[in-house]
Amino acid sequence: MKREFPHISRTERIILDLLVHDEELYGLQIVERSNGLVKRGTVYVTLGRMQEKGYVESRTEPPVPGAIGLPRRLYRPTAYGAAVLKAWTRMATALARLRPARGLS
Amino acid sequence: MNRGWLLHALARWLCSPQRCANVLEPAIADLQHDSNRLAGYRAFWISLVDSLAHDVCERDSRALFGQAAAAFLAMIAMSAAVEAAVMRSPLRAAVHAVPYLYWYALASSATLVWIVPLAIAPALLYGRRRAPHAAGVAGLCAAAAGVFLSLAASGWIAPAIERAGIVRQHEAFEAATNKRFQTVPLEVDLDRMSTAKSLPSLIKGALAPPAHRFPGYPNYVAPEDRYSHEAHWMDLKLRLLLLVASVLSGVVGLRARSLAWTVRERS
Repeated sequence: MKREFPHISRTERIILDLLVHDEELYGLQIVERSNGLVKRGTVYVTLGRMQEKGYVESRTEPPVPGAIGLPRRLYRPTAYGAAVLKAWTRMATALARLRPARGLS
Repeated sequence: MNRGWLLHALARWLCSPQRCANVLEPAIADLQHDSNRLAGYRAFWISLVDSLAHDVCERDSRALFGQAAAAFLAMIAMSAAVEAAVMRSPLRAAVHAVPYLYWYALASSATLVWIVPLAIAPALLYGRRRAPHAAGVAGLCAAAAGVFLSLAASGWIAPAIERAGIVRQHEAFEAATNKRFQTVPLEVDLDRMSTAKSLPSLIKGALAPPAHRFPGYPNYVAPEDRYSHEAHWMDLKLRLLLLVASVLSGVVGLRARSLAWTVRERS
């Protein structure tokens, strides 16, 4: 059976990292907490893609009496997403260690 | 009415339900709860463009394009076959004999001029029926393609066929008479014939003053040129009408089924 190697982009990594630490966040909160690393124009598209990949799951916020408009969506990492992030972090650290030091002969 | 309801309606109309729920509704919800409106609107539009680009490439959308194109081509082929059978056979004389039918005015490009705009609606309906889960943007793209095709057919392709026919007739006449008879020069004939002009040339001809073709008589306008200006305007109006017809056909193709559903639900 062919199994695809899970790919995770830089933005996805940042979002997953934030979600792993903060449990549940709105799209807007992710943008605010990323200190400009995640742009508001791309956060919803990235979150949608991450949901398709199974890295995050979402639920709408509980209805507030008298509130108008659409309910906001809260995102949290799945166990699979957290595992992928952990594996990627470990792999990146291992690869960084293998890199030869510059300027030495 | 709360902020963003129009954006929500637009997203629901254009995008697939899944992408609307996962990408655009969260963007609208955050926009409704945030004080920074400009950033919220910007985020929505960026997300919408991305979602539309993805939805157009989805399998359901591709199925709609394929089915609509197949139906469109089948209708055009059928109409062209009927046109060829009628216009290039002894039946043509019979058609000319019927008053008020005006088939003679359609010359040899009736399918391109009349059937292309009218075929958009049934082709779209068929495509949407065969691919019911395609996003709204796919239907919109297919309708836009139909309108552009209709514009190209009536504005450039059909006149080119007419022009080729006139040139062929001229050459056939000259070959048959061995140039013993002096006829109107081909350039003048083509300049007078509004149906043989592409859209830009037709607009130019409609706006230009009547042609003075005799250098020795600067104020003289030939009788054949006197009504050429009006003929150009009439043809221009006809082509605009065809463009409007193609847009209406596209709207019918996009909306007909939902209208039918609404009527059925009410009854």
